[in-house]
Amino acid sequence: MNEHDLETLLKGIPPAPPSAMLCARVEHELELDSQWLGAMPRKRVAPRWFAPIAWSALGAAAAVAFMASMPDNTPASSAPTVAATTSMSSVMPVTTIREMVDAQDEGIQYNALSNLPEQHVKLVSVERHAWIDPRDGAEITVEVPREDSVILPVSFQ
Amino acid sequence: MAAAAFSWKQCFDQVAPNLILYARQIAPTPADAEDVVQLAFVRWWRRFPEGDSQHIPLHYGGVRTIALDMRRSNLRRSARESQSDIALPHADTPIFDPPPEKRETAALVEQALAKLPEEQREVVTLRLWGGLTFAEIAEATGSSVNTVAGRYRYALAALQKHLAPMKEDLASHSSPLPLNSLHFPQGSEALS
Repeated sequence: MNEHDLETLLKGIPPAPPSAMLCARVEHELELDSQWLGAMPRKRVAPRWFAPIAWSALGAAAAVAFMASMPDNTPASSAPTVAATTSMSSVMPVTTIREMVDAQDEGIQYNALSNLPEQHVKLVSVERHAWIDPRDGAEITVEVPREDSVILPVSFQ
Repeated sequence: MAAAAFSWKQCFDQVAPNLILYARQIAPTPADAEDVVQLAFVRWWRRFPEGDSQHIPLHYGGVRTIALDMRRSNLRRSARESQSDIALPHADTPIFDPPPEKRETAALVEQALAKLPEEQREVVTLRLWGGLTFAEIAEATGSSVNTVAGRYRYALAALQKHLAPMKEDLASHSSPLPLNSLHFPQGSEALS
């Protein structure tokens, strides 16, 4: 059996098909994508008459900006300026997982006010948030470390 | 919408078996391989929703990256599970789905493939079942074309050696495909 025969033989053996479950999982994921994209606000298309007006408005805006940049003798306003940012969310949350890393028993302590015993436990965990941008499949993962002090009532009876 | 759904399914039916076969050369378990293919296909489809076949080599590159990432992250888990007596789910699922007359051959080929080093297995799978050229394999695996061609030749020689005892059986089972149906990339003759 030469090399060509071997290649022909190997190529003639078809690989196993994917499970029906895998196909269903892919379908579900792509369905979610299409639902999400369908829910996104559509880009507005400007009417034809808008273009010349937009150019005029641009000229007017440039004039106003020039006037505003001229030196002014009036005292500066003390009111703070707040930058308004409008951003449209383009990512979709996928998972939020909280993973416990450690639990430290800090022992039994007596409450200063009530004098009752309390067990102090420190819980160390990590919160993982993941988002995905369905347009290009980019994933964003953020890990937030957390420490929680938990006080539990103790009964000696 | 219906046309798009048909289109992704058609594409999936066409490429998924080869992608799974490739993923199984890298991923530790068949279930992991399916997870890898799911992730890779969905990402690829989001990027190329027209399913253009010229981007298929990228698909294999995606499978490789995800499988290697998964293997790295699952390294400890896999080590623990390999020491365990509990059988992994579908661990013995065959990688081929041959017609009845080729079952024996397929089992032998699967055994022979399993004996190859991973990088050779990878190249053989991409070349023979993925239909990629040496240049495309080189790009997907981050190796040079010469390295890929060399691995392919070594792999074929090793497979030939492993399958030699069944030579006559294999010859009688081989499909009568014309030799001119084989596609060789430019320059492969010089490398052989």
